[in-house]
Amino acid sequence: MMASVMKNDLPDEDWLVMRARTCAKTDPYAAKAWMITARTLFPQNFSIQFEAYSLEKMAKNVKEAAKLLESLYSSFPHENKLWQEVRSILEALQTDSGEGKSQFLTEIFAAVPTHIQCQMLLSVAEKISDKLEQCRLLLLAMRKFPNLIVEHGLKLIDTLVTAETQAQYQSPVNCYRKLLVCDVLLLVLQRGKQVDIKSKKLFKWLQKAIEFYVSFITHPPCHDLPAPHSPDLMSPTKKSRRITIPGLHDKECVISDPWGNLFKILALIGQNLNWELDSDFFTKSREFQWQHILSLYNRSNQPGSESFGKQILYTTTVLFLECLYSYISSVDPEVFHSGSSSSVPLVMIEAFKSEQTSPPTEPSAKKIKAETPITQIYASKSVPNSPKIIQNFQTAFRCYELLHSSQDLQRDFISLCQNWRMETWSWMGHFQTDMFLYQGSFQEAIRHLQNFSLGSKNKPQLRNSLQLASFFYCMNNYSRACELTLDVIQSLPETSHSVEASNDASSAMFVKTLGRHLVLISCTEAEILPFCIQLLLSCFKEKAFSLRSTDNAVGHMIVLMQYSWPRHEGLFMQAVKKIQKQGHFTYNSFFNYVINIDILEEFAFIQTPEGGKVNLDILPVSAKAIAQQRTVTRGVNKGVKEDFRVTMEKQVRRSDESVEKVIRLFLTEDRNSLLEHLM
Amino acid sequence: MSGNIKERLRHLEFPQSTRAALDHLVRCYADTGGGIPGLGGGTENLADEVVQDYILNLSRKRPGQRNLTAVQELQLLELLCSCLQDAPEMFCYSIFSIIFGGQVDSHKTGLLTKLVSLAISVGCGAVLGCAALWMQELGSQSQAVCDLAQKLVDDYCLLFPNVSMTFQHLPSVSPLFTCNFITAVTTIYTMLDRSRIPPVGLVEYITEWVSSDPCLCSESVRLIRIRSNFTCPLYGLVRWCVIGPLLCKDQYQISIPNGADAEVESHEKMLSLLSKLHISVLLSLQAYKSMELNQELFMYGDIYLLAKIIATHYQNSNFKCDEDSQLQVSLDRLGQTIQVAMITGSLNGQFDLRPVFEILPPNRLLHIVAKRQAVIKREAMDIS
Repeated sequence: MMASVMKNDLPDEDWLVMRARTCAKTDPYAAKAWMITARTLFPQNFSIQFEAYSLEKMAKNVKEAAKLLESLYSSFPHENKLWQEVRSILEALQTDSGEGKSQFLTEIFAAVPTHIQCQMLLSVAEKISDKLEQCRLLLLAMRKFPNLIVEHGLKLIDTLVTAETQAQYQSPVNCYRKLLVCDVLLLVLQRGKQVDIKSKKLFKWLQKAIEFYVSFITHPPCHDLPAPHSPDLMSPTKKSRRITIPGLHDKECVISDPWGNLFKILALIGQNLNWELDSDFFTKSREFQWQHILSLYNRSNQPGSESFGKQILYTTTVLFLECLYSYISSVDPEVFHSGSSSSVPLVMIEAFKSEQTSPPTEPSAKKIKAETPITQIYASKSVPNSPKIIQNFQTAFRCYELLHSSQDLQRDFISLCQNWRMETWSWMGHFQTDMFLYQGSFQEAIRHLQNFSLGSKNKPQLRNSLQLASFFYCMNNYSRACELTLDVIQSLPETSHSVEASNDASSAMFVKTLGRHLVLISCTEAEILPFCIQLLLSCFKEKAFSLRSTDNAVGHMIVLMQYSWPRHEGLFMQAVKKIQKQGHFTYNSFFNYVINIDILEEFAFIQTPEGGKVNLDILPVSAKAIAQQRTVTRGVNKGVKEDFRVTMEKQVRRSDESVEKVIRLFLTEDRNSLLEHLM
Repeated sequence: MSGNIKERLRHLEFPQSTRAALDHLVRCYADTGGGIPGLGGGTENLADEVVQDYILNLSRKRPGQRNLTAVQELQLLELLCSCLQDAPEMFCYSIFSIIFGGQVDSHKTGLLTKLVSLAISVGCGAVLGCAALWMQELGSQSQAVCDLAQKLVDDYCLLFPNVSMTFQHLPSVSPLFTCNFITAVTTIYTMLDRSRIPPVGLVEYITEWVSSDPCLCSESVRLIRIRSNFTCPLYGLVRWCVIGPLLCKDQYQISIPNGADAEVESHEKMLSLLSKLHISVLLSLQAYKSMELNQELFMYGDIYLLAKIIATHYQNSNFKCDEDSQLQVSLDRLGQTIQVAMITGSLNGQFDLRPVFEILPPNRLLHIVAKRQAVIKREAMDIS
């Protein structure tokens, strides 16, 4: 130590710093004394002044360090080393990680007088060449010092907009847009009318915000998210989402309650433009929201309502998008959740025409409003929260209709859609299909589905086939409907547990009484299979009672009726009447697939004299073929009768077998015959 | 009325008599609106008589008189404490003066010392404030003040080995008293020879006080606006810090053969306290500058004297200059103090320091300080 004390080759300034450093560890007081002396000896020497700061920093003296930093900042505004230090302090301030080092730097900054803090932030932001970094610092400055917002807010918005344009991002979910719509806009808009903004600008920002939030919300989230099943994430409306946005820190990519943010922006912009929009509008019921829009719309032709146009356009659009999003996330949860969600997709389909023989006043809680002209939507019991889902769909639909109800609105809305390239939002496809269905435009719906079903995966494929089948059925294209339905059934795994108990209730739902009605069911085997069988049955019913009826069509229908027996007993009796009228009936698959005891009994009866002595050719081998074999032998008919009796008795013993299994076998083995008979 | 009071007091017993006497004094000042004590000659004499008879003489040992017992004396001190505490602030010191002012006599000082000691232990700011002004008036380096300070050191640092919280918080009760106390203490313990080294406990208190309030040592200077003379503890403290390492080293070398661990420990503690005290003094000088009192705190002679002591020490020791680390510490501190004192205006920067440095052994800091002083002087000349 003595040698270093005496070292004479160092310049005085460096020697003093060296003396301070040498004793910093052993005697911090002495080090400080050296620093004070050195600073008074060479007040213009930056490295001495900076060393004094470093020593205080090292000794964790927040106050002293802050004081020295302040004096450095005012005496040496151009020193690079100082800038680096200030920058690292500001960085610590942004990350705010709570770690020891950055925590301490934050404390130093906090100890600097406010006006100096403000100058530091602004001057560092000015010097930084990186646009993103600069914007971040300005944002930080405005957050800390709200007085700056009026002066710097608009400038910062312009910078962000320009930077985004220059960076030529493909997606609206990018770093500049995020800072703009999540952070800066809110700050500036919250200042209210202190900041004078042209309405054209406000609309442009609002469009950017809507585009960002919708893309952000519908963007598949990162896969490394921990615990995707946390209750917060399961709720479709309130959740914080995180996706990777290039250029931003992980922490910056989390947006809690994105819809809430968008609503806030809309409400703030509305306030700025004197709209009739309460800040809690989006927490109200769907009915309230719709009535509010409707009342604006109805008043929009009155004088003095010139500003209503934009208000209706944007409020309705945002409401439309939110309803739509909520609806789609219930119907097709996987779209937004990258397959991690446990909820079952839903599918909306057309209900079937009722059977004439059904008693007209069938008691059912679902069918309350007879003769309602509006298309009703019912949901199966397995659909959770169904009133909300249906309401979301209907509100979205109404909004969509309203947005197309006048030329001005339609033009504005379409131009918004084009700006946002809405055609690339795949999840819009689902809605459009369901919307066409709701409107009864089956042709449109089919064309739409066929365009969109390309490239989609397993479950959506199932939904699409189901819907297509339903639409073809409604268009009376029974063979196409049947083919699709058979494909669907084939793809369904066989249910291990018996679902027959619930069959009755669920298949009853598919049948409408008066007016149109749609049903919303879960995409589960238990709900799909009854629907498919009902659809096939309905196809064959149409065929069986038509002029081009065939025995096979009637036979197939009877096989299908066994599912959910005795629901279709009335229909069966109609078929029996028809057969009795014909006097003969040929259906050689009969004993392969008919195992229902009631049906068997009825067939045994109708061939008796009391039952009309119908000539039945329903044995596996055709009676004609037997007749040919047993040529000219007497008592042919007697042998046939005997065979029939024996077979019938044998068949009765099969009545315990699973109807579902039998029908599935039937659908597979007789596929070609089924399709053929619907041509 | 003046006759009445003496008449009335005569019929009272202690402590009622003293309480009534004190009440009378307070009332006198209240009646005269806090003006000059004893307007109209007679009153002053009367007050003086009352003070003599019912306060001061009570405890004085005189033949034929009953002396106060220890408990009664304590009662007397408490009466004084609460009287000053309750008296309106504007004539609190006037009442104090009429009791303890005037000619210094050992009995009065003794009673005052006891009063101050009690005031410290009960945290009575009014008494300490008055005592501080009394010290200021007599001069903090005067014998009477030093006697009082010595008694307090005995009470609080020597007799009572543990840290006394009330003593530690003295600056928050009366900063001026603390300041003057430090001045007096540095006068007693000059650190000029081995017998004048302050006790470690005392240095510890003072270091704690000065380091936690850089303005403390300027309290007495602040009064320059109402009183022309002032004393300041800073020079005394500088002497401790600069000479301390040399003296302690000597003493340490003497005590080493006996090898008492406690002594080694207290020696090291003293050195580290002085290091902290030194930086606190430098910070106090910086704080002093910002108070803009514009008084020089150090004289050229003060600095020269310090240099002389170091030089003598160096000549008497058989070390070479650069081998003696304590000598270097001492020189560095002197250099640091001179530099900071000149910058803060507590030492006149125009003094020619060369004669000071010439008598000292070589030291690079002193060399730098001299060089910088020359540069600054030249720049000043160039401007003019």
